[in-house]
Amino acid sequence: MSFLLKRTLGAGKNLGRAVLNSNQYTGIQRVATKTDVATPQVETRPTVAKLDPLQKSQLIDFGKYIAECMPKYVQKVQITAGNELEVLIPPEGVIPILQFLKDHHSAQFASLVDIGGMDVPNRPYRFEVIYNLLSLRYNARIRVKTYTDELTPVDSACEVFKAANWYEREIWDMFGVFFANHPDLRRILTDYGFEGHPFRKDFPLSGYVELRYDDEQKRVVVEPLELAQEFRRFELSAPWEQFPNFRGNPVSEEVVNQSGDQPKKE
Amino acid sequence: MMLRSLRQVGENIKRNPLFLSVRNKAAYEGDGKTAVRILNQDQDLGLMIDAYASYGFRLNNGITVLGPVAIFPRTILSWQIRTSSEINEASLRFFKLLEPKIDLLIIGLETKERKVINSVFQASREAKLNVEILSTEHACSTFNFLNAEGRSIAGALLPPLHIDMNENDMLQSKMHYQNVFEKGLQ
Repeated sequence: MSFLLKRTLGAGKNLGRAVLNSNQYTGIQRVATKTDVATPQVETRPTVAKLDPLQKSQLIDFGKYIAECMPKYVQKVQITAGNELEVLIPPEGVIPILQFLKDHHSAQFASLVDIGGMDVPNRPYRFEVIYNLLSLRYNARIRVKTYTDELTPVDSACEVFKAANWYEREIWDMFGVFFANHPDLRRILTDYGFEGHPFRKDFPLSGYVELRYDDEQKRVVVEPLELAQEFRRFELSAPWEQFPNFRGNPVSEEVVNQSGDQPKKE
Repeated sequence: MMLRSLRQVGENIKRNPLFLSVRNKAAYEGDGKTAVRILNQDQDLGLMIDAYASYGFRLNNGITVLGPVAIFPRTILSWQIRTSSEINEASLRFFKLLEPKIDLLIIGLETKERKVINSVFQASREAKLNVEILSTEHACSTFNFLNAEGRSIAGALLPPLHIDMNENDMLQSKMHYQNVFEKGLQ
C-alpha cells in the first residue's frame, strides 16, 4: 500500500513540476525553489570583464569622501562600467578639484593621463572636458568631467599639471574651447591658416577645402572641396537596438548626487 | 689550443650585437649617420630671421632691420605700424595686392592679450586674408620653416615688447657682437 502511495505522490510531484515548467499556465509563477538560492552566479566566460567588488567598494567610498571634502564643486559622483570613478564638476571648480586630487595625501593623483573633449550639440553647454588622472601610489584612476559652451573659457590646468599644456592646445584646436591663463594657446594639429574646429559635430567629415598640387603654379594650392561622389550617410543605430542583454542596463551608477536628491547607493 | 679557442670566443663576443655598440660607433657613422642642417645658413631657401629683439630683427643675409617688418620669401620691407592696435583692413590691404598670391600671412604680435588678437583677426577677416596670428617669437620660427619649404607666404612681424632671455641667448648675442666689433676691425 505504501508502495502505491509513493507512486501516486511521486507522480503528483512530477505533474507539479511539469505544470510549472510549461508556459501554458501564465498565472502560475515560480517564486523560489531550493535550487535557485544554493549557487551564486560566478562569471566564467572569459570575454566578460570580472568585477572586483573590493575595488568597487573602495572607489565608492573614495567618491563619497571627495563629495564630502569639496561639496561646493562636486555636483555628481558616479561609477561607470563597474570600476571607473567619475567626478562631475562645474568649470569654476577645475583648478581646486585638480589641485585637491593631486596634493591630498589619501588621493595623490599625481599623473595627468589625458584631457579629452566631447561635443554634444544638443546640450546648452555643448562641450565636455574630461580629465583622466592616475594615482601611482594607490594604483587608482579617476575621471573629472566639466562642461562649457563655445564662448565660455575654462581655467587652464597647466599650473597644476605641466602635462596639460599640449592637451589643452589640442582641445582648443579641435573644439574651440578657450583655456584662460594658458601659457601658449595656439594650434597644434591643424594646418597654418586653417579655419574651423574639426572635432565639432557640425564640421563635415571631408572638411570644406581640398589641397592639390598645381602643375602650372608648381606648388600646393588650396581650393574649395569637390567630391567626385555624393556624400553617403549610413544609419548605424539600428543593429544595436537588437541586443536585448544590454537594454535597460545603464553604464553609470550614481554614488552621490548633490543636485538636490538624496545620496543614493548604487 | 687554449689561446686559439680564447681568441675565437673573443671574436664571437665582438660580433655579438650587445657588444657592437661599445666597440664600433656604427649608429653614428656610415648609413645611420645623424646630421644637423641649419636652415638659416642655406641662402637658396630665401630670407629667414636669425634673431629678434625689442627694436628689430636680424636676417640670415646679414641685414638688420629696425622696427616692424613685412617679410617676403626674398624681400623685406619696413612696415609703417606702431602697435598691433593700428592693424586694420587698410594696413593689410597691401598683402592682398601681391603677385603671386600668398597662401598665408603670418602676423607676429608684440603681446599675447586676447583683445589684441581678436581685433587683428577681425581686421584680417575684413581684408579677406588667410592669416595665422601668433606671438612674435613663434611667428619668426613659423615663417622660417614655411619659407624653407618653399610655400608662398608673407610675414608681418612686430618686435616683441617683452622677451624671455635665457643664458644661452645672452651668450649667443655676446659672441655675435664680439665677432662683429672685434673681428670686423682687423
